[in-house]
This record gives sequence, C-alpha cells and structure tokens, in this order.
Amino acid sequence: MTSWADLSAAALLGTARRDVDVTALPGPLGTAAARLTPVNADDAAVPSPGGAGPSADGTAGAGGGVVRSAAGDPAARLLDAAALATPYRRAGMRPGVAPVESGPAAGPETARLVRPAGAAHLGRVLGGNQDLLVEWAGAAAAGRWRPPADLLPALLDAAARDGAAAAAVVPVLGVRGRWLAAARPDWAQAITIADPSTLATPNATPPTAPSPTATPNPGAIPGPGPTPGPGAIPGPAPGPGATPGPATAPAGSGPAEVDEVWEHGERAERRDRYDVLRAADPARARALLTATWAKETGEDREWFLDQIGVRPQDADEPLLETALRDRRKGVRDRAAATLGVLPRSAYAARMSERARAAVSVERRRLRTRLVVAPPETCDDAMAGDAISRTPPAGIGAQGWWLREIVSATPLPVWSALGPPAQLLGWAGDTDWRDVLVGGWQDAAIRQQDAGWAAALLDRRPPQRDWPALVGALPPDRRGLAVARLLAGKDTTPWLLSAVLTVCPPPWPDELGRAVLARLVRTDVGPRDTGIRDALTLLAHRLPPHRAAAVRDRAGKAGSDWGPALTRVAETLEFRYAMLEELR
Amino acid sequence: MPIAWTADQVLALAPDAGSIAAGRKLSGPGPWSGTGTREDAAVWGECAGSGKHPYRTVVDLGGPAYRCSCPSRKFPCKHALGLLLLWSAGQVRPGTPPEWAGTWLAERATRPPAAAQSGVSDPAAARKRVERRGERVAAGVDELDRWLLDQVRGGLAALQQGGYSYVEPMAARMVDAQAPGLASALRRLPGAGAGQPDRSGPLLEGLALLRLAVTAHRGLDRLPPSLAACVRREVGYPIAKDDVLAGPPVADRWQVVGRRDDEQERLTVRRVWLRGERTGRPALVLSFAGAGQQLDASLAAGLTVDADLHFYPGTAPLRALVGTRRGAPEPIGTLRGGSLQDAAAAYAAAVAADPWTYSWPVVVGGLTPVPGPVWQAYDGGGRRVRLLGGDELYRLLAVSGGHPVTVAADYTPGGLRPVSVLDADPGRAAGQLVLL
Repeated sequence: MTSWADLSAAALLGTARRDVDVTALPGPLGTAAARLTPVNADDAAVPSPGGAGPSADGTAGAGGGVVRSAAGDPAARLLDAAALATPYRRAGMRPGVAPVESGPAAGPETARLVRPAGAAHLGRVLGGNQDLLVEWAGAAAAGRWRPPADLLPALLDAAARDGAAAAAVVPVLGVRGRWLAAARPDWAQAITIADPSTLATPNATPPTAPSPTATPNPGAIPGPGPTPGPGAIPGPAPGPGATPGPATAPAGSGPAEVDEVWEHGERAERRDRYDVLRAADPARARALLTATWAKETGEDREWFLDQIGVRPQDADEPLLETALRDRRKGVRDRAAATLGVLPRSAYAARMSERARAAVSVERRRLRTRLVVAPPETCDDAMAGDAISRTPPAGIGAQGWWLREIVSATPLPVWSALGPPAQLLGWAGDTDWRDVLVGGWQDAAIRQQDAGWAAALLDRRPPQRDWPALVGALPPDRRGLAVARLLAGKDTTPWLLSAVLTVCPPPWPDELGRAVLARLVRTDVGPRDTGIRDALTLLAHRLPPHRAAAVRDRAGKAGSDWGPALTRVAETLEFRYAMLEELR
Repeated sequence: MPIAWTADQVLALAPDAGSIAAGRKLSGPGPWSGTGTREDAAVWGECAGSGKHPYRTVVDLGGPAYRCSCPSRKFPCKHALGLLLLWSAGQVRPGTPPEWAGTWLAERATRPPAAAQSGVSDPAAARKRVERRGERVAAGVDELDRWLLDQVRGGLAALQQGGYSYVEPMAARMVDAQAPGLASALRRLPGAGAGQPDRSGPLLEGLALLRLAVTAHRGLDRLPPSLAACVRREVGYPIAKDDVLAGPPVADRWQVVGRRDDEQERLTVRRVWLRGERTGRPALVLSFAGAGQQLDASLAAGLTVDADLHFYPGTAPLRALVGTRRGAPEPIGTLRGGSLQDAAAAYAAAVAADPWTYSWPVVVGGLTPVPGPVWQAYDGGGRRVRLLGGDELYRLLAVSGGHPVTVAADYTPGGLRPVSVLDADPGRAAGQLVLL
C-alpha cells in the first residue's frame, strides 16, 4: 500500500533515488493512478514530457477522460499521481469529532449597549488620543454604558499599553470584557493591576483550549501572547492565601508556579509578576522580594525600588533600610528618597532631628528670625543615610548637606516653627535662602505636600520648577494655579505644554482663557512643537461646551492661528457629541 | 421600507482615512441646509463651505452614485460622506428633491447601467493576437513542465531551501510567456507549508497542481468549456469583463458578508464575500486599485444588495461581477449558517468540481470559538475545526463570549479562516455583522 506520505517522501528524496508504486495508492486513487501508468514498456515510448506541439497528448484526468501521462518518467508518474491525490485528500477532509474543552461562557451583561453613534465615537477614539479614550470611558461608566463586543480587544490593548488608560477602561469592560481579558496574559495583567479586585471575580475563566489533540499541522499558530514557553499560559497569578478560590487559573498556575516564575523566570516575566503582586497582594510581593534581594542584580534592585517608590508603604521600611546600605549609589539614593516620604520611618526621624538641629526660630521682641546652623561635617551616620560627603562641583559643602537634610525631612516638622509662607519669608533674610527654599521645594514635590507647593508657587519660582510643583497640588486646584502663573509672565512653549500636561481635565474656564490669550499673543506660530502640544491639550481638556468660544476666537484670528484654533474647536465639538451620546 | 445604513456602512464607502475624518466633521447638522431623502433611495443637501455658495450634494443610494458641486477629486467627497452620516443618524427628513438634485436623479434613472462601450476593432488582428499568445503560452508551459519534473526527479530539498530566489527565474519566465497565473502559483510555492517541520507534502501539492494545469493546458480544446475555463484561469489568460457580464445573470438578494483589502506591491486587492439570501450560493467580487486609485466601495459589508451577478466561467464558479442592481441596499436581516459537516460537504463539492480549489466560502451557524495554542471551534453537532487567523480571532472570541455564533469564513485544508461574525448581542439590532 502506498500512502500520501510515501509520495511526498519519494518527492523529497527525488525519483532519481527512490521510485514509488503509485498504483498501490488506496482505493479509487490507485485505480485512477493505474490508468496514468503504462502497463508495459512499449507504451513508454511516448514523446518526452517536454515535447511541444501536436504530438504531446497528455491531458488531465479531471474531466474523466482517458489519461496517458508522460509515461515512463517516474517523476511524471509521481506528479500526476499527486495531482490526483491532492484534490482527493482535500475533498475527503471531515471536521474532527473529538470534543473541545472550553471554560464557561460569559454571563449576561448588566450595563446597556452603546448606540451605534456611541460605538462609532469609541471606534474613532481607540488608537487616537488617550485623553479622549479616558474621557469616553469615564462618561460611559457614569452612564452605565458598555462598548460593543468587537471593540473590546482594542480597548484591552489600550489598557495593556498604559496604566492610566487601564484604570479608566476597566470599569466599562463589562462582564464580557473581563471574561475576554482572561484569554490573554497581557490583558489579564493590565486589568489586574488597574483593579486587583478582578482577581476575586468568580467565573471569569477564559475558555482555553487544551493542546491540540488530533490537529495535523502544528506551528503557524497565532499564539495567545508574547509569553515564551510552549502552551503554558502564565495567567494573572492570584495571591495564594489572600484570595481563596481564585477565578483565573489557566494551565495550572497555582501557588507553586508563582515561586517558579519568581525563582527561575526571565527578567521580564519576574517584573510582570512583581507588578501584579504588588497591586494585588503587596505583602506577598514584599516577602518574595526580600527573600531574593541579595541575589538581584544592581539594575533590578533599582527597578524594584522604583516600583516601591510609586506607592510606598510603612511595611516597606525594613527592605528600604537594607537598600540604604547598598553598595550601589543608585540603589542607596532611591531608598533614601522613598524613606523620606514615609513620615513614620526611622530615617525620617533621623533627618528630622538633623533638620531641627540645623534650623531654629529665634523670637525677639521686635523681630523673629531663622537661625541656621548647617552641619560642620558629614559624619558616618549622615553618610549612612545616603548624604554624600563631597558636594557636586561649585557647591559649598555645608550648604549641600543642609539641602540634603531639608529635602529628606518630613515637612510637618517645620509646622512647629511657622506656616510655609512665613518660613519662606524668614528664609529670605538668611544667608541660606536658596538652600532652604530649594530643600523645601524638593520635599514638597517628593511628599506631594499641597500647602507647601502652593506657598512656593506664590513666590513665583523659576519656570522650570512649575510643572513639578503644580503636580504636588491636588488635581482640582492645579488649573487655577496655572491660570494665575500664566497671567503674570510669558513662558516658553515647551514649559507651557509641560505645565498644562499636569492639569487634568476638565479645565476651569480661567485656565482656558489664560491659555488662549497666551497662545495668540505668542511670537512663535502654531507649528512649534510645544505650542502644538499645548493646542492638543487645550482641545482635549477644555470643557467641550467651550467649542463655540474657541470657534469665535478662530474666526477673529489670522491665517496662522485661525486653522489651528478651528481644529481645536472641531475636537471640542466631537467631544461634545461624544459626551451627549453617553448621557 | 429600507432603513438607513449604519455609520460603519457609510464610512466603508470612503476612499481613504482622510476622507473618513473629513466626512465625520461634516456629519453634524451644523453646516447642512435643505437636506432631504426620497424613499431612502436618494439623499440630498447643501453644505456650507469656505466659498460663497454652499456645495450641493446628492447621493443615489442605489449605486451608490454621488454628485457634488465641490471641486474635490475624491470620490465620494467628504460632503457626500457627511451627508450620508447625517442621514444614517436619522437626521434627514423625507422630502421632494429640489430641481438641481431631481434633474440628476432623473437622468440616472433613465440611463442604462454602464453600457458596454468597447467595440471590437479588427477581428482578424484580434484573432492573430490570440494565436500568437497561444503559442507563447504553450512554449512556456512546456518549459515549466520540464522544471516541475526536474524538481521531483532531483528531490524537493533544493526548492525547500532555495525559497523565493529559487522559483523567481521560472516565475519571471512564466510572466514573459504570458502565463501570469502560473507565475503567481510558482511564487506561492515557497510559502507552502510555512512553519511546518516537513514542508515536502504541501510543496508536492503545489507542484502537482501546477503539473495538472500544464498537462490540462495541452488538451485544452478537448476539455468541456467550463473545465477549460478553469485551466485558462490557472494559466492566467485574461478574460474581458464584458464577456463575463454577457454571461447568464444569477439574480438574488446578495448579502455582503465579508470584505478584506490586501496590499501587494503598488496594488491593493479588495475581496468582497457575497452570499445569496435565496440560493445560499457564495460569490467573491474582486477589485483592484493602484497607488492613489480608489477601490470599488459599492459593496459595503453588512448590507444586502438585490442584484444580478455574473460569474466567471468555471466548474465551481465563485468569482463574479455585479450586473444590474435593483433598489437601494438594505441591512442584512438574518444569515443562515449550516453545520461544519455542511461546510465540509460544500468544500468537497467545490474541490471535486474544480481541483484547483483551495478555499471555499461558507457560513457556519452555532459555532463556538475556543482560544488556545491552537484555536479551535466546535458546532452544535459535536464537530470541531481548527481556526486560522491572527488578532481578528480575538474579536471573534469577544463577539462570541463563549456562546455559539454564526460565522462567515473560508473553509481551507488547514482549517476555517473567519471573515465576519454575526453579533447576537440583545442590545443590537438583529443581524449586526462584524467584520473580522
């Protein structure tokens, strides 16, 4: 019996080396192939396969006529038999019967489906500006709308690309979106970080197929994600113990696998795992990291400290204290910066003590003043707290140490001496004004202290400090603060866009007016990169009902600003329609 | 009465992404005045622009055909798109067309559809051209045959390892011999069985079907006409559109169940999958556009078009041209799908009729997709099939939600390649087709 595999094996080797008996093909194939083949040697005297013209009389068998092939040539025989077998095998394929294992289907939705216009808006917003996506998602969540299912993959992609988008997108995913996210590790991870409670959502198991049982052609398969490793889908690992009965458990990702990835995983896998755990189960993340800390590379130690620095917790202190004595400066500096924003840490207490020793208030009858006594030396204890003994070139050592101390001291320490505005005023009368103000500014930014940031901004610090200081204000106070800053002074285009970036929507009217006035009065045109960024922010963060005002302004502007402002107005109008649709 | 198209269907008409954006900006009632629609077969309106006079835009939904007084060379222009979007949002009221619109609509109604204009100039010269082409093809085909046999005689390793540069000289020779069909089949060979450890099986299939075309071409005049047409298609003989349109019409309400654009070098190929509502028959309409040209946008996915189709000749006719259309397109109502067994049977019948068939469009109902290292799907009858595709499979999964759905797909030897799915979301209008 000759099989298709025999045919292709013979073809691979070449008929010059291996012939194959095509008449022994099974069933009707063999019968048909026999008619291709000359029975005796005499018939083999048919003209060579290359013979052109009327003497060549081979025809295909598809019409059912008598077929006499290029006869004696085994290559021709093989190809002709394969030409019979190919459609024969294709037509004979039948779908398999083995059952496919699949998880539960998605449950019914509770939110209402957006209308076609809403879906069209979302389609336009996806892949475009992130502010728009965040705005769409926020309005949809508030109106209890949900997107059409076919846009869910694009929404999840957006969430996987960016944490801010993820936070906005997760609430509108609906039952279907959460169910779908479990099908891909990158999606699952993104929404787990954005909303750790998804880990405890029951019944969100993706229907993952078992490995192919009787599928003939492995390979060329769109894998489920970028994760290496055959078949094993490291899903969002639930913190064992923390969440009993984890919902998403594809491919046996139990507690054991958490350690497995942590102990032996690639750098990217371990970082992903840490990210998820830090959001879902910080205690476990801390325990894992503490256990392996000594073995982590310097680069990894810095990376982990950066992650901790995003949202440090008191319980992180022991690890941070260890890191404070690291042999790598980058690690020590990060540990110090993070410890400085944990007001109850021993490090903060040490810094506070040094600060109180260096700066005090002397109250006399007529005048109150700050007495500043910077440290004379940098002792071992200071050096151990990541204060470098040698200042950068051009800076006095005492001033440098003082500034390091003030920067790392919890700001409430100073409230015993007086309110921020008063302290700033007193500092101006000392020889150490720049050191103190600079240190307080560092501390206000690191500790996100709104009171100090506001006081510092009132003193109109250099423009380059605006964005960070404004960022230390509560989001709803930033717009007005920036409007006041812009009213006083011209800014570079770059700075304008940088300081507007930290003002979240919706902008107060004052800010919109200030920006418009500032833009049109500028001597650079609307094509400047910074100005373009500012225009984009204006279009996406101004309340959309301001469209008419902007259009009005565009009409009065010249040929350079007119079109640019018209585009801003168009975006505002789009947002208006988009939000109306989701009311 | 037909209902307005969805915004997606309107935007599918746009010639490029820029037009979509421009059209959207004109989709609000702001710039429009004097809009109206007549029995949803025509829409018109005036759009305020930068000029003194508003642009006058009118759309015949039956074509669809457009006319606008703007100077844009895009077709349809942004005004037509904006007007259609306005209409699809239900913001255009029924009315009687003003004179400027009515005249054009009346003209269109009386004009015969796309009259055949090219006449035969010189029959003798034409015959001579055909003869000369026949000779060149015959010589090329013989050369190809020798090459095919050499591959099998010497073993497939050379082809397997040589890749594109190995087949390219022969493919170029086929282009010279005016057998472009054979040339593209040769160029597809290196990709056969890509990703599989042993590619000799798929390569042998490709070589065998080329050999079949070669031997069949030698007996071309003894084959039944429809089978000969298949051979001519495989070799790459041109066939005039007029000749196809002169063939018998197949009247049906054709559901547009799929559309995909493939960009090749400097050429975009658009495939539109159709399915006869009454006959259940599949059809494929191809259109081509070079750089800067526009593709045929008249068949928007999710619509049903009452029309005559003219199939290219063959034993399993699939490719077709659209002839006479009747009335305006309407949204797809229901899409009837068969089982996986039905799909396999339809595929088998097509392969049996035309041995060169590789894939065949089917509609499968009650199909549940299952993701995994290998995607699969099972139907209500307990049959399963492998799913082929990339990211679009996740959209299929999203629409399905683990529930059975109706899927339009290409059935191939490697599995099912979905092109669209019917979204059964209770919040959606019945028959919402999602392109994959």
